[in-house]
Amino acid sequence: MDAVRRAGNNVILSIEQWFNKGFPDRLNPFYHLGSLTFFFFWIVLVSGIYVFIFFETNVAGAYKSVEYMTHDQWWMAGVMRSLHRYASDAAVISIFIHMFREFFRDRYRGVRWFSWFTGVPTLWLVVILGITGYWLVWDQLAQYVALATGELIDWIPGIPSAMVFNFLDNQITDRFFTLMAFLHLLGFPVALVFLLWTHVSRISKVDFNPPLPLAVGAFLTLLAVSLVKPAVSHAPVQAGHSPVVLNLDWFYLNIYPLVDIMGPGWAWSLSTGVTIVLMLLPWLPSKKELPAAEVNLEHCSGCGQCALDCPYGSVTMRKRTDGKKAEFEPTVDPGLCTACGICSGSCVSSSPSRMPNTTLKTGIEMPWFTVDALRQEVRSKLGALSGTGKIILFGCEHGVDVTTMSTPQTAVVNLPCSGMLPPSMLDYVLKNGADGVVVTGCREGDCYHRCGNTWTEQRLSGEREPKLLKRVDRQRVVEFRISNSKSERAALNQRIDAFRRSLQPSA
Amino acid sequence: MPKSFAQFGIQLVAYAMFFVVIFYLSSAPAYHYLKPGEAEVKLAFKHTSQREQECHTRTQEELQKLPPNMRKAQDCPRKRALIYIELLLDDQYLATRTFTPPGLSQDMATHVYAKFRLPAGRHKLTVRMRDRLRADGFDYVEETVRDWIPGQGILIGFDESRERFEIN
Ligand code: HEM
Repeated sequence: MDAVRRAGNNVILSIEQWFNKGFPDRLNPFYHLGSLTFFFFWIVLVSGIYVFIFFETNVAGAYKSVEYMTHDQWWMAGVMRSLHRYASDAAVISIFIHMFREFFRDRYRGVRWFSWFTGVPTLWLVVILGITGYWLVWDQLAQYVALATGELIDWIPGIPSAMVFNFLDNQITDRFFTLMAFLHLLGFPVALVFLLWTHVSRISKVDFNPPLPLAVGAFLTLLAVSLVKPAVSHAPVQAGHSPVVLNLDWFYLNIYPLVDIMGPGWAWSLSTGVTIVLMLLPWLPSKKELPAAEVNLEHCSGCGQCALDCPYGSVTMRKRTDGKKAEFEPTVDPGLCTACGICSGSCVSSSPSRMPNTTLKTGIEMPWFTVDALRQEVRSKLGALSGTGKIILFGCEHGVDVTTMSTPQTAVVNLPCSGMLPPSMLDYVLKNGADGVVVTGCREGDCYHRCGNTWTEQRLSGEREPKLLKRVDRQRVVEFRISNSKSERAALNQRIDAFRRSLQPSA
Repeated sequence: MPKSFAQFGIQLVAYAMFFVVIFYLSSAPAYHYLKPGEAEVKLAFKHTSQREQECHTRTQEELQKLPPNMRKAQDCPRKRALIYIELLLDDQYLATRTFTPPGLSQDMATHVYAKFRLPAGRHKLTVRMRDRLRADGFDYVEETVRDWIPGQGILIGFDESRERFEIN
């Protein structure tokens, strides 16, 4: 499984690398797949409401009303119909890449199992929504879909009546048709909203909206498809006719040819089999997270920054329990903690200048990598540096791999996330012999721990607490947010050398 | 907004790929449900097959042995026979199918549903069904010679009141 993930990750990283050249400044669509999907759903919703105004929810009127929209009011209802279809298709694309990406990046196990586990049923719901949508047109494709769905449902043991009989020539009733319309227009969408709310309920600061330029680009593309290839219906249902050629929407209707080829039993086995494997994936094998963050109340001022910065909502504030003056104290839910260490980087008490001669304790930190341990590692690596242009390189386990980059002039300190780095540590290393500091982290907009690189950037630029002190010479600090793709890894050495040359040797 | 020509080019290619994937897969490749020159036959009807064993009238002696609340004169084993159907085209076998009556005791009405393909053109289509416990012979037979057109959907039903097949 590890090998599959790594191979997939390499492929997706190199594709993303290519996209990064064209979509700079956090605009890479691969970093916004979840929010792009939400955006597609908005298009589906708005266009769906418009199309519904003209849609007749009965067997006799449905086809005619859709034809009216497509041909008579093509300039508005027709475009809306096309947008409705193509935005739904786009959602399938973004959902699938989103899913594969989370898998390849190993963001689906351990504490994250919940998002993965609740993501899988959304696949079903989205596909069912699409299928019921095609059904409403009541053309030959719709009848084909209805009959094959009937075969699928009738295959399930224990269902006494034959659903398929409802869709034979002249058999469909307005009542059944209204039921389908209700499910497509209200029932399934409400269920999807509920499921998606659950899907993101365990993470905080969820990005529901993609960046504006991306949204505009995606919308214009969908509009272009709608204008170049307006969505049309198949021929109307005609008694005594079977469909010959069907122009299937493969994003949604791919199961039906399988039903024809393999029969409903195998089609069920395949789809439920894949679903079960997907749902069990977080435990095949499972991942044990490192121990969760721990709070040291005697060093905590109760400022709440850790709770504000935690990307997984694992740290929350509650009424103080130790009688100190501060009103609140943080508490950690280990079941939600991905052990990123961002809270430790966000704590003002994580300053390495505190308690210089004893074990440094901070308000909140990782028991397996305390700020004291970080200070010790920095101290010893600083001591071992020689020559001019001495640099401390803080790496992030999920960004570019820096573990092999240490040289006599460059010391490497690897962190679980760049967000774990307290800004005061930069001041500390520069005061204690380093000529420069390099901080690397995941690509902009693409932190493995969701927010770490953003928080680091904001802390260093003075937009977020704890801020990098004003007295620190900014010329001597540089941040590279790059992914672990081969080409970016190769370029890093050159960028570090250039930075070294730019440094004035410290007096 | 793209900042350079190269960025603009890459974005254009990316959006073009997005365009092409949606443009194409939203309706292509076409799916040929029926091959050219084929028609489809659907067998679709509900039918209650005969009981496997005839009902038998209980003798006085048999009735006495039963608890008073269960003394029904007729003893009817519930299980019904399998439904066996053959479809022939110009007297050649096109397909055979067996359907098991649903229900725990296999005593309910069976929904017969099956699809077959046949070549268009003038052909004799025969459908025959056995619905009682016996090894050969048929209880219902219907045949018709017609010009079947490509893409035709032929529906074979069973009229319970007239006890005969209907080929539409
Ligand atoms: C309708 C479909 C879906 C939508 C709209 C959606 C949306 C989202 C969003 C907005 C996030 C938060 C991203 C962030 O801010 O970091 C997220 C996270 C996640 N999604 Fe989805 N998702 C969908 C389907 C799926 C599916 C099908 C899977 C996999 C089976 C999946 C797996 C995940 C995982 C594992 C995370 C958590 C990442 C983490 O913990 O850092 N999602 N999703």
